[in-house]
Amino acid sequence: MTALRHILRFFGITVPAILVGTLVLIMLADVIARNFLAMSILWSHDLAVILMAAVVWLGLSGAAMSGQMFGISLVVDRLPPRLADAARILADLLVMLIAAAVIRAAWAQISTARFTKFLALGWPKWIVAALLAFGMALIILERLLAIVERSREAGK
Amino acid sequence: MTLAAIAFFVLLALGVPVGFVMLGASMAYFAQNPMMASIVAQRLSSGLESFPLLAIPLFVVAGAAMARGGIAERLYGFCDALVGHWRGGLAQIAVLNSVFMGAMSGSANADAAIDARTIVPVMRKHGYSNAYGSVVSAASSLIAPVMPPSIALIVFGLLTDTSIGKLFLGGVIPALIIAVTLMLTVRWTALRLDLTPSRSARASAREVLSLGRAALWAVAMPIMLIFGLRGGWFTPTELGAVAAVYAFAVGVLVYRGISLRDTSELLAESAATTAGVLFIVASASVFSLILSLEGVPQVLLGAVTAISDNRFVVLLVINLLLLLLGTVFEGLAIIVILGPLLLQLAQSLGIDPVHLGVILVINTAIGSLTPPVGTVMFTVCSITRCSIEDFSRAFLPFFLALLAVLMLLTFVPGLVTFLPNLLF
Repeated sequence: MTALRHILRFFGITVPAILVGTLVLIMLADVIARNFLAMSILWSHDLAVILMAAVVWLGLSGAAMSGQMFGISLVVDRLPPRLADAARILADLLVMLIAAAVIRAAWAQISTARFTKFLALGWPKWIVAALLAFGMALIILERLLAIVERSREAGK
Repeated sequence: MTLAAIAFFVLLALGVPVGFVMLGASMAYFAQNPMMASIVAQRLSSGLESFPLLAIPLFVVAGAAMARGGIAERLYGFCDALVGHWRGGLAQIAVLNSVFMGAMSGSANADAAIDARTIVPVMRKHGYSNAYGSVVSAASSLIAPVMPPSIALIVFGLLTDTSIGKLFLGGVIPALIIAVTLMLTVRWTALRLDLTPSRSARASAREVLSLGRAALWAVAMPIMLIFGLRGGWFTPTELGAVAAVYAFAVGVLVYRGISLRDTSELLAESAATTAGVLFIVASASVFSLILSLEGVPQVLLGAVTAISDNRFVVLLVINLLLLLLGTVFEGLAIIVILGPLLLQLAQSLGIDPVHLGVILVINTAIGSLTPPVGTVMFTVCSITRCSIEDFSRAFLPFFLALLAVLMLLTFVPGLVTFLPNLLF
């Protein structure tokens, strides 16, 4: 469990943090190059867009871990405790189901769009769909761990 | 479509995160539709393949650097010196602080969460009711999505091809009007509730000046925005990168408030916030596709125009519609789904896109504060443990004041368009 949490924290928190820092630096480098060196870093926009997609899809599990992905708990909070717990587990299972469906859709996207490329970088566009699939896999893992940890706490 | 609607409301009621609610409803729709499921992945990916959208992570980093670098604390001190001696001083500080903090975070949820965690406990200690503190935190956060750099205005500008620079400037006067209105409402309610000031005496001019020096670093951000954009040095998106590095440099070099550990924490926090916000934008872009395929927005807008072709009557009806939708949908999702369609309608009636954008954002922001499922209201209430009933009762005078501001800005477009027209 601890090892899985470490993996999740690495891909969901540490990697997106490094990527968002890199994103700021790349954008700033382009502004400096254009205004002070009279040249533009052509590939910076493409790379920035890929970095942003990576921050979003990998960082989604980090956002879930830090409670930044909120839902409307109006109904669940008013249920009796045991029913509320069951509703929370059901919500987590549904999130996992939706994430699995997105992974399937992303795989279809990778298979059909493997020839389109980012113009300046020349990198294939399926990279973004692959990041989406990986991010959703992290979400499934995160929800799974959350269910197990909640069950353990309830058992104590 | 019926299955998608059922899935939407069931997922919402179960407390599933808002982005997954829209995604789940979209999946349910495509499960019974012959269109390929890969469209979902394609829309999710392409929804983020946009250069102007990069402004969001960049401004989020800028806001986090300012909040951690010591600027936020100094701003609080400055606000205390300015209005702390008024009745309901802590509530006045919360509102004034939101003017500065809003200019950093650009997000109502982020601003409300910060206030609910920091100012509400202090208010409770000073005898304010939990509901009143929660309402002030939530209501003052409405300034953030209107004051530049506003995430909602960036998204609207991107989707409707409206100048983000103009939208930013269009938000300045409305944000200030909202702030003044909220402060007047706090003053009125503080007299009725007999709320004490936060400091016994007015701060001396010397103290105000000394504390005001710290606020200069925050005030410099909008000034950079205007000069940078007008000078053609950078686009609004690139301004985010400049602002982030500026805020970080101030935190490290001027206030020495950011250590290496803080840097990693602020980047991690920024990445999580960015992911949360942009996931909603991407999911809403998928959800908007199914609504478009079913012709829902056209039916909705057709019904609006059927009522009248007078622009002010149409604007009034749009306001009512958006306020209602805002109580159920996330604000950014409404902007993604309805923004482009409302723009078509607005242009046919001669309404300025900047005016429409600002009105749309204020509407959805007010909606996010109102029951039954306003998202900002829930963010604040879940942190302060305030009941929805208590919140709703305490919110009523603020709601009426905000509605009055909305009407004023709707029917006096010059209040929104004056600055952009002057500077662009």
